[in-house]
Amino acid sequence: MQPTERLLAGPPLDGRAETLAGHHARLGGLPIPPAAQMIAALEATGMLGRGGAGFPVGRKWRAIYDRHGGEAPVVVANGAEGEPESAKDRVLMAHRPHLVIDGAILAARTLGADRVELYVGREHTQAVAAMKAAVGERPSHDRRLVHLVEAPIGYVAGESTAVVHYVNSKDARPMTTPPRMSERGVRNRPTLVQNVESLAQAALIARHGPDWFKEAGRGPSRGTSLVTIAGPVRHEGVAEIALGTPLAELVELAGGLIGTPQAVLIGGYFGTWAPIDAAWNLPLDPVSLKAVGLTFGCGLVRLLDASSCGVDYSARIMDFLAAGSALQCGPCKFGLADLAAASGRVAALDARPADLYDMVRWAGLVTGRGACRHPDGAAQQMSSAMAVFADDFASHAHRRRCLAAGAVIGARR
Amino acid sequence: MSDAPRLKIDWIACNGYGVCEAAAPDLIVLDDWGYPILPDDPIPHDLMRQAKKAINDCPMVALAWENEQTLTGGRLGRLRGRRANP
Repeated sequence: MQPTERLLAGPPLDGRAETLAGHHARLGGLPIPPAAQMIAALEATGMLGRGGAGFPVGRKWRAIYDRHGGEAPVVVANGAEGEPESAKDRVLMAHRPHLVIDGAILAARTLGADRVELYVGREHTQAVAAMKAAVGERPSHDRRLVHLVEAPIGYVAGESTAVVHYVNSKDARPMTTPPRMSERGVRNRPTLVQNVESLAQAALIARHGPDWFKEAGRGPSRGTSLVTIAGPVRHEGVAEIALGTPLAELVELAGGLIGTPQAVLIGGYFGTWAPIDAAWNLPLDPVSLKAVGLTFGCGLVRLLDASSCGVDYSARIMDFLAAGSALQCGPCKFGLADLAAASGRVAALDARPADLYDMVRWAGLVTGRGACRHPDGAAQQMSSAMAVFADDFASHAHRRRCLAAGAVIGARR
Repeated sequence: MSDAPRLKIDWIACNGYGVCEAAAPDLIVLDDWGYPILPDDPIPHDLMRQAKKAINDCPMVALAWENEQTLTGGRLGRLRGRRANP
């Protein structure tokens, strides 16, 4: 299978960023269509945001465009990528920084914004360096518009209200909404917080139009998407696929299997698990996955080998997400900690009698009860793991035996 | 506020004192960690008095009618000079 390369077309992904000269030679300058036309084009593509929440991009831009009067908006390009196993945003920023900057400038010019914040996760040192150098290559009018902000490390630091909070007051914790970001965000101005891949896609749509964008895609969702594939495949890493590409073909694109996967986590640490047989021919796109109760999220596709324990893996994710809570909201602070402790005991073959029962109950209790969706995402991953690895959870808890071939239990904690 | 009498909570402001449960025992129960579980439905007429008492009694100004501002959720926070949305 041939990759469908649009965002990643151009020079090889060898760690070097494309220069401004190379970017212009390949794609030409950035056209700025009339605002109404640009927003209509985004709406026509049906593109959903690529940060994880999947909000329609055109609708997000329109919410700011349609406001009446008031101060100039601010655009924030969100490249925090706190998702530990996802690498697509950092790879994009490290290799195609000018496409991301084009997208951010396009958003600013379309919405009448006079400031762009490039919010880049500081642990992504290659991406930070590439974006910094790329801004330096830009003409002075771009440099006056675009400012780089290094995002602090942390899973919630990329949540949109946390992004605004950090840009405003160096505190990367989510805030209670309302106000909506489209009304009051950075410095109380209307603010567009948009994932860097979404912006890069918009920069291509400005050049080639919505019909070109929709030529790619094999199902209800159109266009291409970056994904990160991890697990027992020959080449783990970032790929660009036409949306709707089946998992089997993505695995082939990644060089084929080098193990025997039993299940797959799709969408990130807030995502959902599926048994490998059920998932193998599933089209990878937000609409098709949602129809079967799964999530596309940030495009992480994490295969779990049969030699690994799903109970242990999901408990480690739960532990990570509990540690990543901003600790502002009670149900998230205490509920995720309890979920992590209980799932850790089950994983370590040391369950208390009520642990499985409590985990189901707590996953329900934390959902929808926070300022942001962190507890919802954490509970979703846990619940889905408990369903897909039901036999393993039961065996761990009741017979104190792990069913995964060769899994080493008790090596942690 | 009277046309859509639903309760909402500002989770960042709520400290889990449980005063709301004492004020509105027929509307609010506390979860395993002492935080309120609110009814999804609009408040029935005969429980309005309890709901109002729960809102008024909350020491953190975390409980409000759905379309009102809470402590960190907006105007009230800024008026009080507390940490809130900038």
